[in-house]
Amino acid sequence: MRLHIPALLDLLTVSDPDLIADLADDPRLDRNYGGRGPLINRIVSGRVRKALSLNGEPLPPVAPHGPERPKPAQAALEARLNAIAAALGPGDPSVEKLASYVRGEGPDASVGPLAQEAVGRLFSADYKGDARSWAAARVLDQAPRSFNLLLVFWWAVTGAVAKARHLLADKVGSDPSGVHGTGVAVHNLVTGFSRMRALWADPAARRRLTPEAAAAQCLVAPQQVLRQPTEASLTLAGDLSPVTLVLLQLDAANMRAPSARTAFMTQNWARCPAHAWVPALLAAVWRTAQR
Amino acid sequence: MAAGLGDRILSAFARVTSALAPWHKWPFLIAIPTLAGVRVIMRQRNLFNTETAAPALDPPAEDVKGHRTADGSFNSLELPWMGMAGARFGRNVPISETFGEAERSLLEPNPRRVSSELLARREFAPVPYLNVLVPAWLQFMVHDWLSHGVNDPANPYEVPIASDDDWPQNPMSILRTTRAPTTPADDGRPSTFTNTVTHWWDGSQIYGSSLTRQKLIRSDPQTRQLLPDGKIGLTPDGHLPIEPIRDEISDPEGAKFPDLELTGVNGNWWLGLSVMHTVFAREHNAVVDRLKIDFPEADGEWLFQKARLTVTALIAKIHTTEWTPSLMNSPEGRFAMRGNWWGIAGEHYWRGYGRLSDTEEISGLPGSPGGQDSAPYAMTEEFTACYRMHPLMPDTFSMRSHQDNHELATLSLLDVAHGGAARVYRTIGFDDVLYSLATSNPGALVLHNYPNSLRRLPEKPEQGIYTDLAATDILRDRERGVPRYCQFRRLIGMPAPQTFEELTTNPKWREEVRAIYATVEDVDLLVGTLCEAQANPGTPPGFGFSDTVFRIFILMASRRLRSDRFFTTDFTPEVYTPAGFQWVADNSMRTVLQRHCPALAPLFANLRNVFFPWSSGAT
Repeated sequence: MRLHIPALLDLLTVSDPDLIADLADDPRLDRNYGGRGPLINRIVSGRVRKALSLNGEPLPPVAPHGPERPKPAQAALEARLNAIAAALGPGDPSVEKLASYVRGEGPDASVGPLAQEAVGRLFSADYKGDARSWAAARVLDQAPRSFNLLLVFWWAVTGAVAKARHLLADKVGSDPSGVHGTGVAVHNLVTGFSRMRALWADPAARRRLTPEAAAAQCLVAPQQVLRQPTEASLTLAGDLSPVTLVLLQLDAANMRAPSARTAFMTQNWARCPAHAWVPALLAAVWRTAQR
Repeated sequence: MAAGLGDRILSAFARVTSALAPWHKWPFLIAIPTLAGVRVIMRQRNLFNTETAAPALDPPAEDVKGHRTADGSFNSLELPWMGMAGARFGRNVPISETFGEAERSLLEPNPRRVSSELLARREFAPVPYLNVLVPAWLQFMVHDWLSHGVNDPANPYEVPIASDDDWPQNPMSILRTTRAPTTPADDGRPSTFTNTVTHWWDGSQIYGSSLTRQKLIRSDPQTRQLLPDGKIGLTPDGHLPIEPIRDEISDPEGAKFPDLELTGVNGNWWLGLSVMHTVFAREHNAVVDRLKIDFPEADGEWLFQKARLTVTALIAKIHTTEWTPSLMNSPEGRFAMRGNWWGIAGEHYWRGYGRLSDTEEISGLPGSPGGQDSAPYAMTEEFTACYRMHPLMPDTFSMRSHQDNHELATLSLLDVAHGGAARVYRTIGFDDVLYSLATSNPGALVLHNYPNSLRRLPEKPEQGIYTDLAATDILRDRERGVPRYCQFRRLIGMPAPQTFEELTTNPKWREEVRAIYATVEDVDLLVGTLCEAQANPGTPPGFGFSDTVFRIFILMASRRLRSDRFFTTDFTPEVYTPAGFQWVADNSMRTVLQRHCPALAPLFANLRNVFFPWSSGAT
């Protein structure tokens, strides 16, 4: 759907899985968000640039293509996560804790720090998620997209976003992927485990769902990822100008055609390095809960 | 898929009315737009593609614009693989909901117990206003649309048998459905299954889904040579020939039985199927004769293909405007189905002036622009599940003379199955067979009415191997990830019963179901839909099947037409020939039967629908 109001906004939202795949592969669409275009486009891209960066560099999931893909650090992370995914199972402390949560133990809100800890331990072996780190994650997640003006003002006054980012970075040894994982991506896991807990509450689903089925039903893809043309482009989704913001709605697409290809963009240069780890974690937690 | 204004209004209307009461509780003028709106919503929300790596086909060697290919490819010129034999079944519920059940859940509750205690026929419960041509036609259509092919012999399911059960094996072995081959793109997705016949409404049950099979049915039964005039090979007395048992040409499901008649699909064969196939093979040849008048120079291949187009469209028309309305025998049901074919403008306008509008609502689906909605066209697993209607089948058949109604024989379902069908004709004439079916009633789709013959089908009786089709039906849905009844209803936008009391108003059924299922959420789709016969709000008035399966039908019945080039943009006199196009317009099941069984015509002359019981031949 194209929303274009001159001088105010120029957005294209795409939720068709095939179209997303086409656009994601289009070299003219990048993550080089310039401070250009209509007002709302500039606000959105500016906030992404500001909030999702560390030491002046964009976090990997919002970094431009650049001269080299995959970047060595991302490739190494992907290989490491794949190896961890293959070994995930009962006995892993995070899996055990999350399985307890899924079985109904602890308050609903406890899932945030638990999921954060599961992600954080990928970057720092003694990572502990707590109320402070979870609060920081909520701030960092909201920062690029909240249109609550009071909240944005409060963050500006208090420097809350920068503080949140620093807190999260300190806990993962300033690893930019770790900051994104424990601050932003973790929210998809939290939604997924909340969903899993609701499934577990249904005795019929508890018996019937295989770990793979439960993982598929609880896998939450990023709601949307952002692209911007580097030049005026005629695409399958229409005519785009260099200021158009393209929102690829991965979660909606994954609901229609669930696959790693859609949820994690595995066929694309921007693929998520956790594409094997996330489904493996979800499946391991369900399997452990069923024991 | 962006919805037009009309669709948005209809879907909003349906949401409001459906929130207040089911469509069939509303008066006609509200019920009809509600149904239309439900269909719009389902087109947006209940069509899911399972193909992850569609095959790339070579350019066709033949002209595919003017006729159907044997394997169903190139119906769509944009997606030539769509609907072809070997393409995957699609889904009507979200893909993430379609994982097969966990092994320990697959057998809970025990499918054999469900079969014995809830499905087994105790006393035949007939549908007095229908005849046995209804189940014959149903299976005739199902064989056109879908087949899961040969099961996987490896690692069969083993269903424990209770100590007081007289089943000859313990455990009962049920083969697994063969899975579709996977690619890396299938990682994280549920198993899928391929349709071994074409998905299209293309008469593949008559013509086969491969060129090899098609040539076989077009061959002279004596010489085995391709008939040069485009006709289907029949014996001199107008019967289907017996299939030669040759591995390379056999329908793998059918040809293992001696005396089996030859046609496109002859698996699960019985006398009713034999009648339908025989009549429509004769109809094909009649169409060829008609076309030859206008096109005396045309070759056999061209005549065959044009006759196939014509017969296929006629079958689709009969299904839409006669068979389905007989099972949806209410003003709304009849209007909805006739509207699918002719639109609100109606048959008379269509025949007098052609289409009034491009829109399917005004002038019907055939000849409309068509479309694929939110997924490429495919038969679906949920549709397959909803067409499990075995209770329609009687266990015994009274064969009677159409001249004086005297009984010629009483035959069991097994007597008339497989090669037994052809053997019946040795002593009982075709007209008497047809008459007997048309004057008998099918079974009702209710609990305790599943034919016991099908619950003990002899596979290899000499080795003590039998099949309980009822238990298999239950297991198949679980295996293929068809959600159980309550979840199924939620996923197609219907309210689900919260308790066994809401599942059925029949107190005896309720206790029987409760004794087997731990919770109402566990109730299998088949059991739940059969319970709807006695539930509140229950089955729509005049309907022979449940409202739940009807929802899938209103989506898929129109989709079979709407997605098919030969029913939409190419449903024209130019593609069909003027004579073929007119043949479809002029004919019906009634005229087909009049043409091929004229002696029987007086017996259905006064009926509104030939799927209602015919008059007795007694003088």
